[in-house]
Amino acid sequence: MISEYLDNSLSADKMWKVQMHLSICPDCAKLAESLSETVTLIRQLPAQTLSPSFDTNLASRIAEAAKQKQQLARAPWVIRAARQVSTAFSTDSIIYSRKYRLTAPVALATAMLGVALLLSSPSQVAPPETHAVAPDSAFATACMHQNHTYISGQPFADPSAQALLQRQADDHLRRDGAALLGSENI
Amino acid sequence: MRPMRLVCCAAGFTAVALSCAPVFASEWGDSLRQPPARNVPRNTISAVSISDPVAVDLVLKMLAAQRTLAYTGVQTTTLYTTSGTTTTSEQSITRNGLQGMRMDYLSPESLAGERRGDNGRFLWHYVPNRKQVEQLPSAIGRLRSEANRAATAVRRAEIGVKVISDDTVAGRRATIVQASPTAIGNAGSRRFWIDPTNGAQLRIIVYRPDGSPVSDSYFTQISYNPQFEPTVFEPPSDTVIVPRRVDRPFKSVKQIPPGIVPSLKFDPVEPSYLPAGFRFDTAQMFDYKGNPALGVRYGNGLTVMSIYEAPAPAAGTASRYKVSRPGMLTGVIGGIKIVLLANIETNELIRVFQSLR
Repeated sequence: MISEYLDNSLSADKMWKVQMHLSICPDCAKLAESLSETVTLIRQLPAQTLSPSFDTNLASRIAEAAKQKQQLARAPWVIRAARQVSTAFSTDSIIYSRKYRLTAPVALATAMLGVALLLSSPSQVAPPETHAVAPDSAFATACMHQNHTYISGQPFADPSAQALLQRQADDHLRRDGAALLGSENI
Repeated sequence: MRPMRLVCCAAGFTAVALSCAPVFASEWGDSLRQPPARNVPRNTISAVSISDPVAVDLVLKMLAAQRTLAYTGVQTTTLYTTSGTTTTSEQSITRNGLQGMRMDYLSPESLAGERRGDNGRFLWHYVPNRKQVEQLPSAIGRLRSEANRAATAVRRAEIGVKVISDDTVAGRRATIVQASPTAIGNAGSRRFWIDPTNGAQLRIIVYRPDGSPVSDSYFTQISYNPQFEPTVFEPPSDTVIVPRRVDRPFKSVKQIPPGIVPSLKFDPVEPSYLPAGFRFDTAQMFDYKGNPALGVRYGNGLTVMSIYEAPAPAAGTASRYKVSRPGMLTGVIGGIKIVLLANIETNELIRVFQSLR
């Protein structure tokens, strides 16, 4: 669900739950933090400067490619397939360019490894071990509800704060029966 | 595709967090319409070992006022989390000693219209859109005996109290008194703003053991000895009352009647270690998803420590725990799921859990 959370594609309610979960789960918080750090590192990479003729060269390459594509579209399919393969492995293609000579095989190998891993891995990542030991969170919320009721009858307590805390626990118990361990105990 | 997606997701993380901050600031997402919270400094006085006689008199006056004082006013309450978010509510409060209490929420918008009342026999909670009243055990009914115990704890210096300074709250002069456990640093403390003329508690701040605030409630308006409608403390008459089952408390876990233990479906555990100053208070069964669970409470006169127990046969017999956040430990021990709640230091929570037998 962290992916959806980071995509901002969850409902406000689920966004809140994930955010609260991140505040109490060190494993998931660590994952979110590492993703955040990745973004920071990417942003810190030096910007590449383009040659003054880049735009002109690019425009002419696009025009040439479009022309070839139009010619290819009119040719039989066998010729079209042969042209595609030969273009991919031609010496001026990106695969064979000097700059990417070393990078291309590595990228291809990585992609193949990634595909293999995707095919071999289960559909969902196993939860961190701490999740397995965390007891029924709805029970924890029910306990918090009980606790707030009890404490509100204590002479040194803040009954208004307890009422607000109890209302939060109550709201989440009623809504989905699951816990939101967001409020604290006083 | 997947690595690219993750990177894009990560890029959105900061923006999402920043854009959603106002929403997350409040449980109900309308923090912008909430009244502003007052500035609450950290409490740097962790313990009061010797009580100030003036402070003792004021706190005893405040405890006596809880039993007798009648007032009505408007109060603001703010909850502070360790992650820096706040939730604020504003409510109208009417109180007549131990005779009754009534709270009407004014804001945030999602709470406006809700009412809580206590007529000394039971506490009721009315939520307009549910059209029913939930009935809970009376809080001010328990206050009668609890206030006596608290007064004794103050007189015996089990709770250290000290005058900090003077202030003005809701246009009335108040003396600020700190109350702390005399056992140094293991539990949270309080500060009370007390009206010296009648003992009214005009403001209360609850602190964590590290001195950071947990909650702050203060009056913005208050008037004493108002006239009450006879039914002000009773629940609305045109609603359905839903009682919540709460069994009678036990004086000790060991005194749980033998006939009840089998219905618990587990043998209750008790701590062999308690933080300094904490003593057994009460044990109580309650209903959780149709099965009985057990709540055991301990206290130091100021802070309550609760241990909740319910069967967890699927969890096995190994002992495991997790401190989810300040003041809360969840775990399993011997096939029993445990929730330990207390405003005490985390290492103390763990020590209590590890001593459960």
